Amino acid sequence: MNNKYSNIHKELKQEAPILASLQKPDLTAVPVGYFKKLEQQLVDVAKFTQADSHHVNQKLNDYFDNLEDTIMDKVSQSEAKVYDIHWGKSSSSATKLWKYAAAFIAGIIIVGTATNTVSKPDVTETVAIQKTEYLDYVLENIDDFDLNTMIDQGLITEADLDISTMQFNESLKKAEAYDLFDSEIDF
Amino acid sequence: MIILDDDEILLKLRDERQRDAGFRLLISKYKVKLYHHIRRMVNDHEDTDDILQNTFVKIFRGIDGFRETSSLYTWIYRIVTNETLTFIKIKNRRATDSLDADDSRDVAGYMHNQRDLSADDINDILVSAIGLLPEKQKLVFNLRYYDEMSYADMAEVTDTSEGALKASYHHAVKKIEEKLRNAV
Repeated sequence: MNNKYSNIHKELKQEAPILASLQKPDLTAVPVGYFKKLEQQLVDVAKFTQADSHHVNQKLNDYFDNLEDTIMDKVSQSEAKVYDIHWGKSSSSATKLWKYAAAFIAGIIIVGTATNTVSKPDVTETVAIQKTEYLDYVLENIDDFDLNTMIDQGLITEADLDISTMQFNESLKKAEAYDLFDSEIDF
Repeated sequence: MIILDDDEILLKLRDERQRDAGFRLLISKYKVKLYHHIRRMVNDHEDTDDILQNTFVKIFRGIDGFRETSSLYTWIYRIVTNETLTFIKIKNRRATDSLDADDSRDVAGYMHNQRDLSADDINDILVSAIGLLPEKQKLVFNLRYYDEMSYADMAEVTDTSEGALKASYHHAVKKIEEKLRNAV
């Protein structure tokens, strides 16, 4: 220290003799009690800083610990797309569509039985016959809106609608015998 | 209060259980030196207090990241110097008038033709002359003249070469000497 001081002083004396000869000026007037108060203020701030950073660190730790599970949950939620089919009474076109599709299938089964098809019926032929009959039914009983919906959904084509009324009436009689219109399917 | 070696203070600061005690010791050891170091640059007590508190908080927060590539002393001085220079830069940008010009008016020039200068007058001239130095030069002068810091330590604090620091100090000293010579 003494060596360092003497070096600095020697250097100053060489470069600036007047300056070297002067006492170092006391530039500052410090408020009374300032340094005593300062220490406590700083310790309080440091404690607050420490607590705050612990709280932040804890939150960050929790966030990273749970992040994997959070992401996996979101991934599985986005993959499992559930389509609800409302089987209750509804006037929506989608519901009506399902009803008629179900009626169509039921009709195939019942009418097929009524016409005494053999145990191994030619399904294609049966479907073709039943389709004709049902299309007649569809034509007579479903309003235009629903008809259009069935065309849009590809269940029928416009060409399919060109069916004789006689064919329809015949199938209608048969359907009545088997309580077709009292639907056993609870929509 | 006992003044400990920097290594002992650092050990306490790094120990969770003794951190508060270590911090108190650090403040106790450095508060006056750092206060005056800042005050010589910014002049105002309130500004000095702000910078000083910010400095100590930064030291406290950053102590775990201190890699001991330099001494604790130069690391602390580096923080306080950067804080001070940043403050001055911001303040100068905001100021419409130069406060430095007001606070560091050329007293030496004013005193030039005065006779029978008192010790206080010479003191004022010296203070004024230091105040007129460019910020970086003033910083170097203060570190060497008041804090008696070696060029090696100054190089760590200011991230400047020793050669550049010696040159800067030489110019500062010459300017002040000239002012004093003209006044006396």
